[in-house]
Amino acid sequence: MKTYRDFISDIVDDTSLYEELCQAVPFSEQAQLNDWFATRGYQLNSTDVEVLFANQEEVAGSDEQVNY
Amino acid sequence: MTIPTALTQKNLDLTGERRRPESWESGSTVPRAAADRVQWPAPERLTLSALGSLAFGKVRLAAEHRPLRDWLNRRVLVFCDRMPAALRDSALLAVQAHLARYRAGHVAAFYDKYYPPAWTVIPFLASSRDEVAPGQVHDALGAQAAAMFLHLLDDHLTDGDIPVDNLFLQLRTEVWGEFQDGLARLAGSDQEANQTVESLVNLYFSHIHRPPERPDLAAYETVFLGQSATSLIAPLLIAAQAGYDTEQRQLIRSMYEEFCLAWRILDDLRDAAVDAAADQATAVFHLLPIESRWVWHDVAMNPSDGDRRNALLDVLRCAAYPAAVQAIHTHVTTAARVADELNLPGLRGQYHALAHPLKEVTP
Repeated sequence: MKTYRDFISDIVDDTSLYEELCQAVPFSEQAQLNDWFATRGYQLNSTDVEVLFANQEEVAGSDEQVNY
Repeated sequence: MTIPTALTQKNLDLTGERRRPESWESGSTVPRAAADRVQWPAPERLTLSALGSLAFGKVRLAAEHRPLRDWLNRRVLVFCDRMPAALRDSALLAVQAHLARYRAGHVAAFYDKYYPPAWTVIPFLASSRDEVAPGQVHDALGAQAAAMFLHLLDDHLTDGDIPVDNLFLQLRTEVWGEFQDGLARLAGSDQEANQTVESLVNLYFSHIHRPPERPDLAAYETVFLGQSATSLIAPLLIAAQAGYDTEQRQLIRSMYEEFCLAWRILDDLRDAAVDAAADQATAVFHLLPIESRWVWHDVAMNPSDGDRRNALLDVLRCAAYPAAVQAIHTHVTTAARVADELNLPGLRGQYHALAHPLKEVTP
């Protein structure tokens, strides 16, 4: 099973997976978010799930301008 | 330049472009459609809310630089992979939370948020003269990626925006290690290269830790350049590898510094309302006429007061905004002129692309 790190690594190469996530958000329960990743081969630990679920709108957001 | 096979086989389609939405293309901080319309308002049309949207013009990466951008974006994973196992899993999510505002897309495209000349200077220099080994280019890019990451991380750590906990302290240690390792491989046993590393690292710390007073714009810029010194090292080492002599490397340094100053003033302009509210004396403050500076301090007394904010907007429109636009334009076009002098047409083109939207509002 792959991890959340692998998910980020995979979307560096191919953003279609990230676009899928953007379309799937919002999840109404943590289990749904966990299932979304699990069905795509990613096993998230409970902390990952908790943090990602609590911030899911931001996790899947891309419209905000960010300047470093 | 030869790109490692691992980078080319998986990531690229037949056109040499990886699958990635247009909105993420080539170092832009805004979606492509919006970036192509980057417009700077005339002073009389400036609003405080418009400040945050100001941006340099669009830079399109050369095809041979796109795999390098992908390679750079993977450095965040490399930094986290260096962490002890107990912290490794948490590190990536912590970076995503605190340095990418939780956005998975932003952490996966971390270096897209930097204007490209911050790192394309390395491949442009490496391919311009004597042959530089691909491994050295990657060492330089890896060190540059670490320097850029540390600049951001240190800024947030010292501002208290992110927690000073064991995870972030260890992350900083690992990224600094990555920075030093890359520079050590690049410098090898070359005495001059090692002196360059040592003197610029010292310059960085002498300006980041208890920085000197900044009573005027010149002092402010000098301190900022000292605080940016770590991002100068890899370009200067790769320039030496490519055969540029001491005098030419001084020109390369001034070119890079002009670009950094343009970026600094742009950043200060974007943050002007926030910085005034915090009474931070930035470049924009120093560009205000002395007799108008009370307005800046006045906003800090009560940032939500509409009259005080309007007074700030008035002095920005009349004085600081036109002066900042002029300064940004001058710095970035000076960088372009020096790139031309050094016969670096690709880099010159990128600087001109950055300056493009400023043309219409430059006096």
